[in-house]
Amino acid sequence: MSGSMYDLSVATYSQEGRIYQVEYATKAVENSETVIGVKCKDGVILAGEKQKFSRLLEDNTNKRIYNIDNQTGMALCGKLPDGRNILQRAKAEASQYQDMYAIPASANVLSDRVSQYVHAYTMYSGVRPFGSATFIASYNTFDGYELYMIEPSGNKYAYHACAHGKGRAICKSEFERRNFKDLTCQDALVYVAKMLILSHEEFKEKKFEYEITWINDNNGRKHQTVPQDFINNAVQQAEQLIEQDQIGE
Amino acid sequence: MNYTEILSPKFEPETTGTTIMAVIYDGGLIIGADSRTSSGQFVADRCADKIDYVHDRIFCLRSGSAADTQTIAKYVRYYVDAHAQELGRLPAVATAANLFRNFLYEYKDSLSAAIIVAGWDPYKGPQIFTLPLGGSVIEQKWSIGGSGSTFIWGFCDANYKENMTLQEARAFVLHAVAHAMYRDGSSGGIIRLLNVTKDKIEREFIDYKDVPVK
Repeated sequence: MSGSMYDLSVATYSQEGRIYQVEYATKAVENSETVIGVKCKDGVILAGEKQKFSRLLEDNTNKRIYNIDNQTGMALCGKLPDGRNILQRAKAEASQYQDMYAIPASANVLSDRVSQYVHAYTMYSGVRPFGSATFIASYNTFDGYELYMIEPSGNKYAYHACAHGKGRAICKSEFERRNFKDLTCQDALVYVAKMLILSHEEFKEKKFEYEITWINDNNGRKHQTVPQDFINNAVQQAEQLIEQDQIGE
Repeated sequence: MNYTEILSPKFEPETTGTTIMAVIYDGGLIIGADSRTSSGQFVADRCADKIDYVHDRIFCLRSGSAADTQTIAKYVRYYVDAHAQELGRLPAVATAANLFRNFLYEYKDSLSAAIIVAGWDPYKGPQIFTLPLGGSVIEQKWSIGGSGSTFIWGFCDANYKENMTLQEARAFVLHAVAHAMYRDGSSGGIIRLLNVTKDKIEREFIDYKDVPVK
């Protein structure tokens, strides 16, 4: 057998020190629809595309982005059922923390606990690592806006901007071109929409939906879905931008 | 008659038959307490410290069973410390109050403890939480507790003002506690004051000869 069977379980390292099952889980995320998180001047945005594999599907169902509590949101990239399991854990951690300490859990603390949970699934032979990367966006008075991404390995990083899924390379080049820290959330929406459209370009013929949420100074710092007309507007402008870029080339 | 018979009714559990008090003033808060620990008629400790450290800017005032309140304070200190370590900054006073509440509510049948949690935090400044028997939490601008407090409600209602200076607040607490100690048989000894602000904590010891009401 070519992999010399080191890829069957997470409980054993390969001779090069790799845990193949965790790498395969990461592959599962890389094949997913794109999810983006960006911090802006006055807030943070979570965004994702949802492919509609059938015309029979209802609009705005099968969510990718959820509330954990009032000021915290979680976006799921990769396998949705796996992600929802992580989400459930995050919600439980957040509410237990609030019950115990009478203050909301900061994104730092919450992502710490969630990443420990995810990491536990990379250590035992009887389990499969989560095929899902999760984004946590949050606000608190002390740390301001925060954005974290937790990978299937249990690794957790704080980001200014991050993306995962099929369109991650496109998004990363867009992040390097533009400093989102100088933009308001409202202004950044266009570029977020642009990234989602470009990410989707390769699979043009499939229909898809935008799912965008934000926490910012203008909405009471609550994690909320961006109003549909804002999204429509941003998409329209983004399509124009893409057209201009193509003419420029 | 033997000594056991004579002494046994007098060996009751130590209680901080107490006067405790906390007041928010402009820029901080001041805490006051008497120093008597009784065991029935017997004064077990005439110089007790009823102001317990919880964290750098959070303190609790103990009344009720000395054993119960000391033990709960010990647990809460441990929890708050672990929490602050994770938080990486000063914990909220509300957090300490909530941890006390969890114990007081969960074990209300077996505990005899009424606690005032007072302190300063970077989120809401100086705060006072009163936790009576049973496990409720009440946030107040000023709070009095212990057996001695029953004698000074009128004094406190009449003399409390919002936005007092440190000097005004200190005099207010000092006189209130002194009056309570004068009328309450289970309060007495010396007075301990503690001033908590953003920048520092300051303890003060009022010797018996300096207690203003005698």
